[in-house]
Amino acid sequence: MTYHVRLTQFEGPLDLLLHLIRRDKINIYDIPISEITREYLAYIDVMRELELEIAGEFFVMAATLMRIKSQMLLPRHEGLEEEEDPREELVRNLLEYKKFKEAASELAEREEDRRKVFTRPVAPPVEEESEETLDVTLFDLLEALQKVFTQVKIQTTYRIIPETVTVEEKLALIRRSIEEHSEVLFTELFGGEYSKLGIIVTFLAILEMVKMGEVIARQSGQGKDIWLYKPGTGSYTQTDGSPHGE
Amino acid sequence: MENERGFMGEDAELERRIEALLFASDTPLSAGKLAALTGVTQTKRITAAIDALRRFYEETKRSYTVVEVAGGHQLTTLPEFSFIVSQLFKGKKRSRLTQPALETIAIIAYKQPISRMQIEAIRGVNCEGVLATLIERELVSISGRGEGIGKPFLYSTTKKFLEYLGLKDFRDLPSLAELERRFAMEAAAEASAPPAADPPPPETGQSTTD
Repeated sequence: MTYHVRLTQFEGPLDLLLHLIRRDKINIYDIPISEITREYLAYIDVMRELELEIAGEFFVMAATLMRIKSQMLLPRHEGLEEEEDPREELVRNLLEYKKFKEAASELAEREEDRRKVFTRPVAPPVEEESEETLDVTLFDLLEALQKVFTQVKIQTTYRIIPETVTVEEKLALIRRSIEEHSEVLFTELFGGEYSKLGIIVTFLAILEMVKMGEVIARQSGQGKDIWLYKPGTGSYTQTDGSPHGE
Repeated sequence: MENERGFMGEDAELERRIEALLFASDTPLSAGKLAALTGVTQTKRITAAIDALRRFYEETKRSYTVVEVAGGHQLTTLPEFSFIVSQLFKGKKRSRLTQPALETIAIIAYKQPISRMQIEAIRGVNCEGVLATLIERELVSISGRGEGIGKPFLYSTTKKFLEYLGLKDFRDLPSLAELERRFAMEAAAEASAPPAADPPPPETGQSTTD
């Protein structure tokens, strides 16, 4: 990403020249080259005084203008009509650039018009049909618990500290987590549990909540991840009339 | 039957299906795609149904219409509801294109495929950063490699560009000749101000855009 400090309103040397041409009502096909060179250099001086960073292209153009100016001073061969006007290339470039500036303002108008109308924003990905319809049985939950046991490294060294985890505490924790996220991955609820007892207590709490209709467990297929939803939230489409939380 | 339902066309059921698809889609749907989705063989029937829908929305004073954009059809709210709908998306709309970005994409739109050097030759300034921004916004993409030293990347505008500006296709934009004509008129008007040898007649109906 490069950052450009815009020098006044000019996008580049051609833009500046077009500005001068417009300002001084100059005929673009017959540019008084010494006048415009003087004006152009005066601008560059101002930019320099303001200690603005001047893009290299502005200096290249200054050199071009001075070259054209000196060429204009050379005696012209009256007889040779076909001799190219030293300004010709510059004029061609200016006209070409001007044309696209015109096109740019056309595009800006279209942009403005389009911003006034609204279309559907990018749609959320459509969930697979199965994700909504597969209910989770106790066996699925047990299967998932099995996975938790294999994933979690059960502490095998024992310290004799009485376990203080209760189902009620776990319930409160899970309830808060569901409240916050409105959907939680089954395995995520076991994060930070390293003791068998902790895992079992968490599992019992989940079972309790499912039983009470406080959460709804769904999975997208046999053996897939189990998600726990708060009933009646957006991501879960309820088809039966189970009671809402509270 | 159709008129009771409010649909003006003869293909009421097809109109409703198309309406459902347009309503749900987040991108413009081409007549071909709509035909495939509705199982209709002639796209003519599709376009006729869309015309009927558009007329219906107009006649029943709906706040939206079907527009043709980026080679497809899309439901959009009417501009007159901009003041209210924009509140819904406050701070979410992407910023307008900057002047350098507009100039650069204008050049690409008309001259594609075009290399960075060719763009820079026209604008007279470095366009690297602007080009990167346009690519990032997916309005421009690399479409190939050119001839010559280093086989430079060539850039083209994307479908998203048409969508972003609400253009049906490139014919929606004035031709380069048209732009030249506009400019020539403007230049003539400007040149007429100083004591010129033969002042050209002032043109009317010319709108200055900047």
